[in-house]
Amino acid sequence: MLLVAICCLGSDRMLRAETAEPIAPVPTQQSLEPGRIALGRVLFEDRRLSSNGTMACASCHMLDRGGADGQRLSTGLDGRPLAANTPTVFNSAFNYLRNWAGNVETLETLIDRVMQSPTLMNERWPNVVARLSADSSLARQFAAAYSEGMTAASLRDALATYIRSLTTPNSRFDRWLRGDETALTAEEQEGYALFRRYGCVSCHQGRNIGANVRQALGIVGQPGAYFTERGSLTEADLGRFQVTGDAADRFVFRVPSLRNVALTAPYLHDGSVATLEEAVSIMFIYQLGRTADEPDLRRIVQFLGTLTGEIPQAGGRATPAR
Amino acid sequence: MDSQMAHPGPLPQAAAPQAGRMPLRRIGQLVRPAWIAAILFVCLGLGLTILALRGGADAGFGRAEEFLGELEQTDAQWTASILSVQLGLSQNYDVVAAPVYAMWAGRDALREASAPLPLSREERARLVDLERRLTGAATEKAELAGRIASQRAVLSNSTRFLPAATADLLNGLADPAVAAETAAEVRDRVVRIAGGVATSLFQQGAERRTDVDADIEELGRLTASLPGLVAERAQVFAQHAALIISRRQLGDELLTRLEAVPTRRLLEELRSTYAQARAGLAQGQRGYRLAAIGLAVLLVALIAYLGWELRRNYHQIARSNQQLQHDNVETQALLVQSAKMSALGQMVAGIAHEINTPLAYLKATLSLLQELLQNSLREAGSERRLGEMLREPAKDGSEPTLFGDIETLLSDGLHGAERISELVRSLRNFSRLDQTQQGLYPVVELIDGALTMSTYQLKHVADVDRAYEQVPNIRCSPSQISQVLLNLISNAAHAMSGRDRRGLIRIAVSREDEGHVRVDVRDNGTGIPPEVLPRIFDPFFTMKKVGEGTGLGLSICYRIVSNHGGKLLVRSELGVGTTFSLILPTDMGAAPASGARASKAGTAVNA
Repeated sequence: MLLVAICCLGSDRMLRAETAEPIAPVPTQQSLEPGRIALGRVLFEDRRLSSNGTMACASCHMLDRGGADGQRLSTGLDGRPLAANTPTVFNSAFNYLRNWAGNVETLETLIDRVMQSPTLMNERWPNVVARLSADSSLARQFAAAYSEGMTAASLRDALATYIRSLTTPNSRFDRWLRGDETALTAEEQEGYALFRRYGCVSCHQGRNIGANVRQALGIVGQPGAYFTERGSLTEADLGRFQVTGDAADRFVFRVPSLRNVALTAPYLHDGSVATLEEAVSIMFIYQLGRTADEPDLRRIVQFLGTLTGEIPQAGGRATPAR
Repeated sequence: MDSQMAHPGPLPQAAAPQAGRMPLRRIGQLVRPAWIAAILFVCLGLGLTILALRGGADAGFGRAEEFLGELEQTDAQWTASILSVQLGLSQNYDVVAAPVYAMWAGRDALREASAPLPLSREERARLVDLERRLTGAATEKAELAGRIASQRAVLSNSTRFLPAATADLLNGLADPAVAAETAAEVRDRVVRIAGGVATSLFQQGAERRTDVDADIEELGRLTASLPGLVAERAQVFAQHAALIISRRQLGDELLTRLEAVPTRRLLEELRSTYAQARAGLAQGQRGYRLAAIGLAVLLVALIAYLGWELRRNYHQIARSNQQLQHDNVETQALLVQSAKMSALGQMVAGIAHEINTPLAYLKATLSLLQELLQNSLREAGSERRLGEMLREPAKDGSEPTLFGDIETLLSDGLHGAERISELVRSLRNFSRLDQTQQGLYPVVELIDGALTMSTYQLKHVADVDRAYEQVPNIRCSPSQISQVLLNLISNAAHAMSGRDRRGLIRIAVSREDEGHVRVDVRDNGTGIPPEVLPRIFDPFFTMKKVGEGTGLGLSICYRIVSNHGGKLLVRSELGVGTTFSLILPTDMGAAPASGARASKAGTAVNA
């Protein structure tokens, strides 16, 4: 009976982690085909996917730079800076909205868009297929992994499978959610409590601690107040309005995922914020409409540091430092 | 002896002259329906299978409807999730962001499942249109769900914060720098604004609309001149109050728009379209099903008919079989009778010849006597002188007197008559025709009778040697056993005929064992070749020339002996002779052989 009770308690805590909490941990297991992941990795790092052979996915999404490149704005295919800060590729599998505009589209559709974007790959699938089919070793591997061999669909699927495999499980916070009370320090736990009390968690929630809801940057006060104060308004600052043309979507962006946020500086869509502390205080001013005192801010930033999970690498995953 | 006596008449035709084999005609009669039946069976079976498969073709619909059900469930759950978020029951917005992808996946699965369905062009066009509209509706729903979540997040935060903001502001009003009057007015405004917020939060529908803009504006004006902190707090308070009210209104609008999203209606229309198509198919299939049922009935009828045919044929065969068996018995009896008639014919001929001899002898004797008396009377001149002459010796001095001569002649004549009498007696024995009448008879008598009847046949051919032991009577039908013996003797005679020297027939009677008597008929004729020996008892098997015999004799004999519970054995050696051994029971139910066999001295059959 005792055993049953303990089990119930344990599972209850797990359940708490999964359902009662607004944040859910990253699953530790995935069921993806290893052969296809390997092929996807090859493609991810392959410059032949771009029209001029200079760009690969990995050019901007580097595994050792938190899945982005640490730049404010990455350089595009044409050598010019891109319109918005590069989001991390990590945990894409749990994003329900894509890109800063927060599009409702599948990962496969996103890959297609990136492929065809003039500033990114600027390429079409048939050319890629033709180019890569000439690579007999790669063609053979594709024939082994896919019944149809190397086609646009199988190339896309391989890429998507690989990208989905780039998850960062077992962050300290996740472990705490799963019931490991020692995974977080007292200050960090307090930081989470503040994160909730102040209402950060209202938007940064879900399995990915964000990326499932959109919000205007500058809720409180005049619309666009943040940009007015920052100065030099750009097209990109209009956010989702660029996609929908709906006035209500002005300055509306996808709420970014806070997983691994400690690794993905600089912050915000324009990459204008260099530190977490600054980002958090901007959030307070423009999103929460309140001020936070220093100790609280520090606690919250400490908490944010616990959201870093095991980083995927070529050889496996690296456990996050304490 | 030839057997040219006419048969009593041709054998009556039995139902099947070749007993035991069905004529091809009748086999054909039975086989042809079997072929037709087999082909019909296969055709009906195939037809039934095809119709059953076509009749059951709505398996595809089942799968499509399954996917449709999943879509309906996803949509219903989505609506429930959105409402629960709006009510603040759910803080994890994954549940409102994820379902749109499930809707798309479900739509794709449904499309795939619908592809192989037998739909009319209109039905398929309708499905495509509905699918397109469903996609649009799902996208719209996702948009609304996103905005509802977004608005809810802000509402939650501001609602949670407002009490604290209110408290901050009111506390700030305690600042001595603030005029009491102003403070009171500010408080007043705060209360009104708070009231507006409360109305917005807790009232339903139309009553939710509040207009606190004026109050907020007034508050701003009032506090603009107050110390910075108070003004700041007032601004914060006003901002959040405004946020609450605006988001609340937005939420209402979004919910209204959400209710208008037709996903559920479109899914219902999809369901009814599938149902209609399925019903239409069922209608069309009804014909197939009826046909299938019809075929099934035909099949059953065919099986029943075949079964009845089978029974009929079986009965026919049984009847034919019975008839054949009856005819066989009849034929046997007739054959036996015919053989007997034939034997009888032979025998009668023989007897006729037999009787002729002593009859001629008698006639001759009497004629001589007559001549002698007449001569003597002439010589005597008178009857008185004739009487004296009777006793006078012969002129030539030979012993016999006239009386003696007369005596001799009379005696010879009597002897001849006696012979005739014997023959007639044998005949009478044989004429005891009742086959089933059995009795105890001395076998020696029967043998002698048979020999007598065969005297003519044997006269020029063979001598007869008899070796009879003392044996008990046998239980038999005398006519039948006589027939057998006659046959054996006749065969022996035939075997020894056509040779320049006389043969020898040896007939030995001995005791076989406790209940049996043995009769051996041995001849020293040509013998029977060993390859032929096994077949001599076969019916219609004969060594004789055509017309000389039917070949039925030995088979009849074998049958007769078997019926008596006896045995008929044969041993033969080419060029040496043949021995037929007849073993007959002395009494029915006699004790089996004790092992001690009676001595067969003098009856050694080893050639």
